[in-house]
Amino acid sequence: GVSASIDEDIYFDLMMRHDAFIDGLYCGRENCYDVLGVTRESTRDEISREYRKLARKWHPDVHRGDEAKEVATERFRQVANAYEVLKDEDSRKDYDYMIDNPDEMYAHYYRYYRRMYAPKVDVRIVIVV
Amino acid sequence: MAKTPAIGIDLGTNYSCVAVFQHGKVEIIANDQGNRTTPSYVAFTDTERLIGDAAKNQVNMNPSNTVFDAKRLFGRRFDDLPVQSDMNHWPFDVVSDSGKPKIKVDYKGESKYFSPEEISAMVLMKMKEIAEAYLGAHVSNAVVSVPALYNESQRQAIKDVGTISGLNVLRVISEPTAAAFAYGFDIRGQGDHGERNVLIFDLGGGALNVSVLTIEDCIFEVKSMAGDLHLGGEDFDIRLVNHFVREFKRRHRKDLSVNKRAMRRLRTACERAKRTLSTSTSASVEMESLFDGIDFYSTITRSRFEELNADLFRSTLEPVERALRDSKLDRGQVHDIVLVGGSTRIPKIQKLLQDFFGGKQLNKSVNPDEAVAYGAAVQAAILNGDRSEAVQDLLVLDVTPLSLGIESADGVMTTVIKRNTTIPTRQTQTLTTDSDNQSVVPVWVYEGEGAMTRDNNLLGKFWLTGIPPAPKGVPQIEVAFDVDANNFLNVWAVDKTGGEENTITVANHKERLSNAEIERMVKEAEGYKEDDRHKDRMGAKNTLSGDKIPEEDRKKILDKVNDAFNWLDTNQLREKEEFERKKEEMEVVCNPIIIRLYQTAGSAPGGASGCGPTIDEVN
Repeated sequence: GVSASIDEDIYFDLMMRHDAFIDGLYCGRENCYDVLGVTRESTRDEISREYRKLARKWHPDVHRGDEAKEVATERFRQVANAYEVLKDEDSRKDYDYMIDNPDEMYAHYYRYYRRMYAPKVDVRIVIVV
Repeated sequence: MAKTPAIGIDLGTNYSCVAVFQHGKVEIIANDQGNRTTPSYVAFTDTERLIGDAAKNQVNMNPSNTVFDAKRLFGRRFDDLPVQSDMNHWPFDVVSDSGKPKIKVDYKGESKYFSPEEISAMVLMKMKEIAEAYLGAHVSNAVVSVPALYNESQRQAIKDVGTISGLNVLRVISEPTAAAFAYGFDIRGQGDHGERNVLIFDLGGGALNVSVLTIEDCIFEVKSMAGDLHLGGEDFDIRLVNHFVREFKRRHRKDLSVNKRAMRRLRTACERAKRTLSTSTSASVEMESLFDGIDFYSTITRSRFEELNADLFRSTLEPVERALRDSKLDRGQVHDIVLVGGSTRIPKIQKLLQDFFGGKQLNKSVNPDEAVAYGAAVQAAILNGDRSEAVQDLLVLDVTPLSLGIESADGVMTTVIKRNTTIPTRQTQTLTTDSDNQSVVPVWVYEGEGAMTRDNNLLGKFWLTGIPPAPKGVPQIEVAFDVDANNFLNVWAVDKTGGEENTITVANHKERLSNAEIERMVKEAEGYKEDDRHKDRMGAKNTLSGDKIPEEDRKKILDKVNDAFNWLDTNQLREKEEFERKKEEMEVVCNPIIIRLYQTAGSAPGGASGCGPTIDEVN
């Protein structure tokens, strides 16, 4: 869910502009900040702390039984993925830019792949939009 | 006790160690010889198979049938460069079995071929038995550690080794991560709850592991791992061996490297000299009749040893730099640099590391030989559901050691999961066709850091077929990579435009043993165990009746020794040559008996030293 500390206006903004979120990029259709229960104002330390709290809750090693592990693994992947985006200052900046500029879709792909996989990927080969 | 605890095993290149967590603490388990580490050696003789101390004790007498370093062959092809270069230093034969390396030995008068997995399984089985003897119960679950940079196929191979040896491997854990547990246990007592950045520097016999972690509130978050799979104590030994081979050539105009037994003896002596040099500034190497009847006596200083290894020592810092860079931490942000692995006792290596961190004190709080097994035991307890207060809060967030990806056009490596991503993880990548009406898309899965796939390791390949005709660039094929907590990879691909779904578990790749092979090995392993049991019974019987040494042999030795003592009593002032001649006389009588004894009993405590003057390198 969305943290209560998010300003109402920002929250409204995010919901209206959900098109900023793109399948397969960052946290997909979800907002990375929401996944970790933090806000855009949160510091790096706060983000780390929230991440570890969630990791303790959802890491498959703390669950017993195949089914419980399966459910937990799914959640843990989302949490870890969101942290991957937000823990690094540069990729967090790119992510913020995407949220603020939903119309520049191609640019988002470019930045995402450059950040995530550079310099190994020739963007022209990979991207199919 | 509710259930038998799961054990932690550090299956090392040179030595292995087993530990168990019970009653709220970790116990390192000593073997039947009372040693807390067991040599990862397996020997074959005309009559039996020896594992551990018994195998290492007889290595100088039976070099070509005593196998060690099997771990260096894991997940490798026979043609791989490291395999080819290692082979020059091994007294045992390695042959190619349709591209896979196999170790050739003579066992009970027959030529036998073993895969590195089988040899390691024998060691693992030995470790399992050591634990079972201590716990007095059957053990079925274990956590086994591997070098940080082990790739997917090598990790899978460890899992197979577990199966062959009758163990269910709960988790394949990276060595530095396991070592971090040992360190974490240590600092927890100090009531320090702040965030701590820790660098684990683990330099063992065969590999260097470096990892950077952040530890807070019992969560071990691995930030990065780096290493060198081919850098360790063995390499330093080899430099020393080569040094002495050159010296021997200079002095005697003879190349002793053609003689396996001489080389093996020299290597054992070099390993000892290297250890001595960690505490003394010089060490001597003394070997009677090393080659062509020539005795070899020499000394080496610590500074000469450092000079011989200067480039290797320096290269230990490269993975440190890389791990730091990947972790995005500065040198100054690291709170503790923890030393693990026997080779971190080398003063020069400590000095280099300390200088690298601006003179910061290194942390030597964990036992360098036992930390990995210690940590593996902790992880085993956690995964086995131990509710003990000491472990229930601990959690490790591990990462992938290598980038994983697929080949796109022109051999470009397209990374899907980059290295040091927290696991378990799932990432997807969308591909398309590069020609019109293309109906098949090849998906070749690679791991490694090269920009081109030819520089990386091929894990497996499959083809996504049945793609409906369309212009190039139109179909959307989603490839998903799933990495589980063991760092095992699953790949599947879906044509999102409504076509076929294809899954591969990358387990089925070329270096890995097939299920049929594993099944066969499990059966054979049981067979060998049967042999051992028979041997144990015989051994026990022999010890009981006190006739380990046949009566006539015992009489021969005793007579000769008494004779020697009498001679010594009356000839205190003779020349050196005469003492030596006397000694040789005695060896002629004693050595054949001792060698026979080794071969039948496996291990003779104290070695040949019980007979006459000490033969230096055999204690």
